[in-house]
Amino acid sequence: MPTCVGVGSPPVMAQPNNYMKPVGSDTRFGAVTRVRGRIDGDGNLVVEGAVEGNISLRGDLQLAVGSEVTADIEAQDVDIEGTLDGDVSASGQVHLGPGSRVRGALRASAIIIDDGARFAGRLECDFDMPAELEERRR
Amino acid sequence: MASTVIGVGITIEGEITTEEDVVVHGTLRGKLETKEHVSVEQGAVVEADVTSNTLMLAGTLTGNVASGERVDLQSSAKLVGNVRTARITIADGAQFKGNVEMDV
Repeated sequence: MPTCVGVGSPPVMAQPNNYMKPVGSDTRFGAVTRVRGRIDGDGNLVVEGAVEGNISLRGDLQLAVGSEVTADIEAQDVDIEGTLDGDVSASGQVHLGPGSRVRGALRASAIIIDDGARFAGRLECDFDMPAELEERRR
Repeated sequence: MASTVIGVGITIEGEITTEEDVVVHGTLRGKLETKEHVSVEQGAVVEADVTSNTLMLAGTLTGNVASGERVDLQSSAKLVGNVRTARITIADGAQFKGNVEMDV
């Protein structure tokens, strides 16, 4: 059965696809790094510091513990362990870790919220209801 | 030591301010400021004013550079802009258009 919002242990993140990408060239903003502006392109991004702006990736995004991000986000899988103020649109899944604080609308094909996560906003998640429930709704 | 990395295929338009090393493989437009080392790798494009302690340039940089300690232009480097630093090396093959300001 397809599930949209799940509670539980962190998911096994999809292995990044390193085909034709030099190893170690993933993008990373360290804890003492502040970025203001627009970030886009192909590849994975790990944010440990602060970002203010827009993030649009064809790749996975991780907001690490201690990160502070004010941005609208478009990416594949999004793993949030820090603080986010902004909307997320993920083609894969969104995961809110136990220490995360998120304010904004989440749109994804799967959303996982761990115990301890703080979240204020809307969840949008498209999935098919089981046939019998679909019937009843009509 | 930990560093901030801009990967191949990533474009940042804006401002980066940090206190650790920065390695650019992708594209950066705007401003880059760190107290440590900046490397602009081969294939990277930086259109920004760069402030750092040291700079290694193997890619393309358009903008003014202010590096407290040193600037090294590798043979694949292209730099259009002014440089203010204490020590500079320019490798055979590097392309450089601009002024160098040093205390002589």
